[in-house]
Amino acid sequence: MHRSKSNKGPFSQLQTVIWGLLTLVIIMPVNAHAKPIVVATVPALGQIAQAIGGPNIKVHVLTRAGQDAHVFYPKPGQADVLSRADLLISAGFGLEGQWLPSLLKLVKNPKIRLGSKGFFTGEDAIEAVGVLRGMSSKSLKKWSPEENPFWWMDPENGIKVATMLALRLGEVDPVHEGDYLARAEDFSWLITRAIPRWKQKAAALKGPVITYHNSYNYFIKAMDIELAGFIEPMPGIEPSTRHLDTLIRQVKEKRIAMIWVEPYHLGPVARRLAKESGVRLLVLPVATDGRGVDGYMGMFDKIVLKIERWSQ
Amino acid sequence: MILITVMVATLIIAVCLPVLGQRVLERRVVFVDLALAQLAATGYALGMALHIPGMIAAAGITAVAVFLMALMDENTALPKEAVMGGVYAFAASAGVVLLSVLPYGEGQLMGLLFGSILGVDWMGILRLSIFAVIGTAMAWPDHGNTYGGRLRFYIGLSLIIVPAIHAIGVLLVFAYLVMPALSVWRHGKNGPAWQAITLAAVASVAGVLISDLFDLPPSATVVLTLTMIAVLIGIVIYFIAGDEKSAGSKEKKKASADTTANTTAENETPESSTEAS
Repeated sequence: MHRSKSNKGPFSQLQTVIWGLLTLVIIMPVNAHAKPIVVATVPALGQIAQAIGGPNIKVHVLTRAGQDAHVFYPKPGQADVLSRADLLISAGFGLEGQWLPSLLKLVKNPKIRLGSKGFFTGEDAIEAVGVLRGMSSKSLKKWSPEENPFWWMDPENGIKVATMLALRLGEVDPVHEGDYLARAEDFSWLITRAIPRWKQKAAALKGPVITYHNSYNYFIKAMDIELAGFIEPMPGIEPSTRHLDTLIRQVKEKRIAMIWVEPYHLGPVARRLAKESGVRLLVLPVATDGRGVDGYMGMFDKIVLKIERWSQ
Repeated sequence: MILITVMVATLIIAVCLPVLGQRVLERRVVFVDLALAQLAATGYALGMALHIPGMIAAAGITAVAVFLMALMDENTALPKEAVMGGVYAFAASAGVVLLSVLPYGEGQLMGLLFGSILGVDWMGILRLSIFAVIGTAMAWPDHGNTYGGRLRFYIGLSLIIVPAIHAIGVLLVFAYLVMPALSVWRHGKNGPAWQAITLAAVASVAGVLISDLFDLPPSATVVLTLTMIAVLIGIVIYFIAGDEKSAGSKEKKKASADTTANTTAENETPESSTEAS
């Protein structure tokens, strides 16, 4: 490539430039293509993937922070990215069940077919949260404990998935396997170091919480908080007047500290409950913007800061 | 507590929406409420995109639409229902495109479109009744087929429908608007307003009680109860009205028996509620 031979006049210099440009033109697209394309369904998974993949992969996230990932309408550009993807990371446990299978059928990309090594789901790495402290299996009977997809809300699960993901990325792109594993170590170290800090802040909470949906179950378990109930009697169903009146009574009996609601869920009902029972209502994120490990850790920072501030 | 506010809120819309529904039905513009609600929601999204208060944007867009809608003559050769349907589809699509460029818009628009009757407190009930009184006062009286008359009708309609959908959701508003009026409809014309209001009020009380008793979602339960009562009374009224043509004494007897059964059902709500369930 470097054909710069000394003292041969302007012509050969021009030749050098042309050769250089040609080489660039040939190498550039190949280089860009060589980077594995990783598609994540929700922001937190994209952040974990970016933390592990670093500059060696290209990450696309389908849904955005503040959106309910149960529902998704793909844009043509996103279908196009999926058709070129080398690895697809989904939360699993039913989160994308309504739209991902048909979308995958549509894009016909054999690399990310269900069951192939390019199809990664949280179910590969972790177990569902089960029944929490403060909840009886009766009160959970309409909430299948095996179907809770919000596992990234537990930082320990983030570590487990990051480790599995590093191995999987190593299979997809063996050249950089060492980098991926090393970054998973870093990720694990950073999160492990931050967990005591998060737990300490969350401990400011005085009493159990009521949540709208079951999105915070993993977080509640990780931070050792007590859960008193859900506003929704079952996923996606409007509560009855009796259910709400029972909850209002419980707030007083169980000394509920807070009500938590997702940014995309029915504010009016949660607000009403908070007002009637005189308990504080917090809108807590289940996803935040930001890249890589900083973005993922930023979500917990934001949540525990809010809890701490409003527990005073 | 929640039970009482839910019952009062449904009773308010049970008093005002059926009579407006009769106006809407005779003009054959049933889609107007969906169109108005969707325009308001899209206006709200537009407000968020342009960083102006959502409520102001919603009111502005709805006002513009109302001024345009009033341009359409009542005796136009155009199928008005199709125009309203078209406006609805346009507004909904504009909303979706707007939301796709907003990172946090989705939940807010859904919240605006699908308010919940459970979220209405006494303040909300007061607000709802004020809008209901003003809206009914403007839209109920007959209006001439002039621009001013049509404008008064559409403004009154949007004053009541947009806040109502925001507060209690599109399902209840749509059902209360068309079902009672449809049920008392006879010989191609509107029936007496008191009948429509009475059956709507009975459905409110019965539906809310059934929902509380059986731990069911209130909006859908009230609409189901309203449907059943509306169909039942619709059938009864059909027999009474059919009476005038066929002078069969059997049918007359049956019809009068039905009406007495119907009035007792109206008086004894718990009974009608168990029947409906």
